[in-house]
Amino acid sequence: MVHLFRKSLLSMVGLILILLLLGVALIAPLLASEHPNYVEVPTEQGTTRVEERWDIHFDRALQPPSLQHFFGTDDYGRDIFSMVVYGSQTSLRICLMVVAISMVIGIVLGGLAGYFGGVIDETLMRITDVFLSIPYLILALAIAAALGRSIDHIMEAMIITWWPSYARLFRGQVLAIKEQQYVEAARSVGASNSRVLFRHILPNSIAPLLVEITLDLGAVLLVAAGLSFIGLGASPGTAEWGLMISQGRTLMFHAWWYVTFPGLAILFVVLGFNLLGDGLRDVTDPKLRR
Amino acid sequence: MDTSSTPTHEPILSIRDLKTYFYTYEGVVKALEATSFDIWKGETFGLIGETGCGKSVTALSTMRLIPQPPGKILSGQILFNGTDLLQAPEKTMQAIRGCAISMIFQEPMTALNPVYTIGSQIAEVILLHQDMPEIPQPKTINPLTRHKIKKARTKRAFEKAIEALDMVKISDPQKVAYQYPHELSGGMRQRAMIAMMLSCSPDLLIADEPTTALDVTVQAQILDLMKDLQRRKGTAIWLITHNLGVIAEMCDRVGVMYAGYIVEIGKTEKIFENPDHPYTRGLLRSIPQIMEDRRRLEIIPGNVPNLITPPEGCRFHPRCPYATAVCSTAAPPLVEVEPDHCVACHNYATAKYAVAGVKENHGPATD
Amino acid sequence: MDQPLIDANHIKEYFPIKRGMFSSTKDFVKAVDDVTIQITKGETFGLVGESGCGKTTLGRVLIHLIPPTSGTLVFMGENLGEISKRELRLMRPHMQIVFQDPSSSLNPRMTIKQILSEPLRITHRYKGEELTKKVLDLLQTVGLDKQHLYRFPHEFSGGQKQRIGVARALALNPDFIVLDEPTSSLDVSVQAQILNLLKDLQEQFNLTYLFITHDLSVIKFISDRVAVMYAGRIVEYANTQDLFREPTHPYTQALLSAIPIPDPRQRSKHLPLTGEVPSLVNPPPGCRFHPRCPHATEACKRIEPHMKEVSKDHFVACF
Repeated sequence: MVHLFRKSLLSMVGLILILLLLGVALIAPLLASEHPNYVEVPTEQGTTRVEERWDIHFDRALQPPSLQHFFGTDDYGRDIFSMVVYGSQTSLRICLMVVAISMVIGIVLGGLAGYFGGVIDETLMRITDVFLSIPYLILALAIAAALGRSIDHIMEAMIITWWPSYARLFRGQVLAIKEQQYVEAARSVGASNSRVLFRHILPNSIAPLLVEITLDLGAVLLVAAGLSFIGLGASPGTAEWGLMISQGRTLMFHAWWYVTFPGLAILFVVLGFNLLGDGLRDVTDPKLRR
Repeated sequence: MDTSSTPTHEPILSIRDLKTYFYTYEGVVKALEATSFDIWKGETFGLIGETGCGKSVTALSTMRLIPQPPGKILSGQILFNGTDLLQAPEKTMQAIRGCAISMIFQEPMTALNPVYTIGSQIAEVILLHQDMPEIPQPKTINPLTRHKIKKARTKRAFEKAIEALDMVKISDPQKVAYQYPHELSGGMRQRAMIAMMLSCSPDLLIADEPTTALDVTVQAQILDLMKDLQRRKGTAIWLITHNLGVIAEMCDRVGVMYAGYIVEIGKTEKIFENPDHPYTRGLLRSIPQIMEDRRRLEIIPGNVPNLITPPEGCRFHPRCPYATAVCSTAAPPLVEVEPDHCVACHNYATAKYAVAGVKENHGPATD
Repeated sequence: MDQPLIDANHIKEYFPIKRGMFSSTKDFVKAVDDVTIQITKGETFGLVGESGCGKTTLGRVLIHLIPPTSGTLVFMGENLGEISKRELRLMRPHMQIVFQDPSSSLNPRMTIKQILSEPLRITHRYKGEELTKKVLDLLQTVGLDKQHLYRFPHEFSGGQKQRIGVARALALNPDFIVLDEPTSSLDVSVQAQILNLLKDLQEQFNLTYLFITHDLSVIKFISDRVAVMYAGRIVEYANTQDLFREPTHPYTQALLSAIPIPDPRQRSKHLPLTGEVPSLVNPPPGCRFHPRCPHATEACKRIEPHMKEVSKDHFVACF
């Protein structure tokens, strides 16, 4: 199966892009020439929160890309390359956390609903429907208005609206696998419910979910960047790609580099996830190749 | 045999050296290497073999329905009424399919379109191939007349579809014509398929495992029906199955296939009485025959070969108790052992007189 | 052997058909309708019938994979309906099942070793080396060997997969095995191998079989006694020889005459059997076979016939 993956050039490109992202995020402190400071800032509720603060050098503001500053500098004189590099950490964190937590919630609820059926299924599905109907933008706005803008808050908003689709997907898979004869066979040799669920149903239902998850990582990134862009997410001063685009928007014609490089970063990462996801789908779908 | 249309010895279909390969990710599947046989006018010809031996591939190659990647018909000649089907243009094939040569499949549920009524599906075939001289073709280009003619033709085709359903002994064909495939039972669906495929009175009907998915009592009904229709219309039937009982009951001549080759072919009685190829013999001895007393079944040791890396020479030689050196180098040709009986085996003469040394246990399941 | 291994009386298995979420169920699929059957230790009991007659369901009920809707099921002297869940789990290793389709009865993501270890791990708490040894033993019993341990089901042929299914059923040293159409999806030559294997195993381990199939020639070969099922009821049962020599019930007669005989000189006439198998939701009243029976009388349409003994050990439900 792996060799099929290798044969698809685009999937390999996707894989390379994602590996690049992971690499950059991991060695960010080594790669970047400048580093942010982390300060404690009081929140609206009275507690404190840690935020990024970059040093300001007005003397070298808005310089085009050069050897000292590969991506140029912004209007506060901060090195855009370093900010993009550190931004990869932030983006990766957001994507992984949102998708991971949504997935766990979705699998648990979808699995219970699909496996037990009946009243449990109906109840859980109605609850899922309620959450499915919440638009993430409105929710993010509400949370930001009530609790202030931060990356954690947009993550919460996204998790709340993201898990229902996983629940449904997984439930569908469980319903299908549940009827397979090897599940019946496992019961005939005395397997308990939990054993059947974890050893038999789960491994066989998870494949389409993996494809979905990979594609979603890209989607989550776009949403997060979008929310930051309109001012709901990262607080100003943080190196977050969406936020940087928002800030560079007004300066687009004087300093094209401010908008371009974070934008390119988002482009390649989302592209990478999409290509990877497509490749995974082709590989796991038995009907497409054989 | 009590058919009134006795088969003449004139071939209606002649397959010569058919070679079909499938190019897959795992390698090249050499499905058919040099398949050759004839089917005579009006006879019932049976093609028997186990899963993967190539019998369906032969039928699909004849109809040119092999998916062209990954399959490819590499060489050979299939003569039907003077035309070489492998060289004919696609338009000719389309005219032939459903009209001169029809095919029915194993699972009628998947072969019938679930969103159209039975009647309309049969009518579609009729409309495609039949002329309907009672409805005049317009010479004018008047769109209104053309529309009226089209409606009249469709209506007439539907009536003919009902007649076809009646011909296959479906009770209340009027009602059934308006039903959808899922509303019918398996047996009725297969009858509907037969009706559809015989509606244009083809010269040859290819039936690929037509009763395998049906219950045994329904199978008996369908087989009786096919025999009856053959008697009335004189259609030649090419019956593909793995059930020796069906072959014995239905077929005048039979060909035994193994791993892409015809290994034995001839008149049914002769093959059953004197099976000369070791594979045929093994096959006959492994059926728990209903009239036989209980004893252990004889088995053919080993497994069907992988067609990506088939054995050299005779493809059966690794499992053959009579194999000699020549068997692993040269593929045996079909030789005539008696009139209407040919075998492809180097050692059929010695095998015939040897005591049956086929193993009597359940055999190790080697790869 | 006086006491039968399985003593099932008046077993009924009705599946409710639900319409919508909150409506009460009104219709039932009467898959098994009042079946009484005894199986003695060491015998092979054959159960024949066409699709939709309920034989698959009956097989599963007899090992309590599906609890019967009503009726008593006594296995090895214990009434399975009355014992606790824990006690049922203790009984389970003694009654196993081999499924029809080997491709779907083996978990495609588990290796053979994992598949065969599972029953052993659950019940007997085997571990480590002991476990591997036992699994190897099982494989060898069915004609496979060490090299197959770490492979996946899709790498095997149909016959080999079915052997693995048999090995799994044997893992817990059962007394009774239900074989649900074990050879129906296999080629004829592979079928022969499996049937011979089953016969050998029966002798070796003193097993009792319930062999379910629609193929009468297989039943004739392997069973000691045969029961014919139609629309949820048993219509005839007898010793195998007697049943085939003197089929008494009209359905049995039609069934036997419908089988194609692999002998071109004996092209028998098929007994005409019109109509279709009845729906199990609304079966015909009285004798369920009467709409298709050439000998049906008025009584057949109203009253259900009881089992009568027509000759020694040969019972028929017909007037």
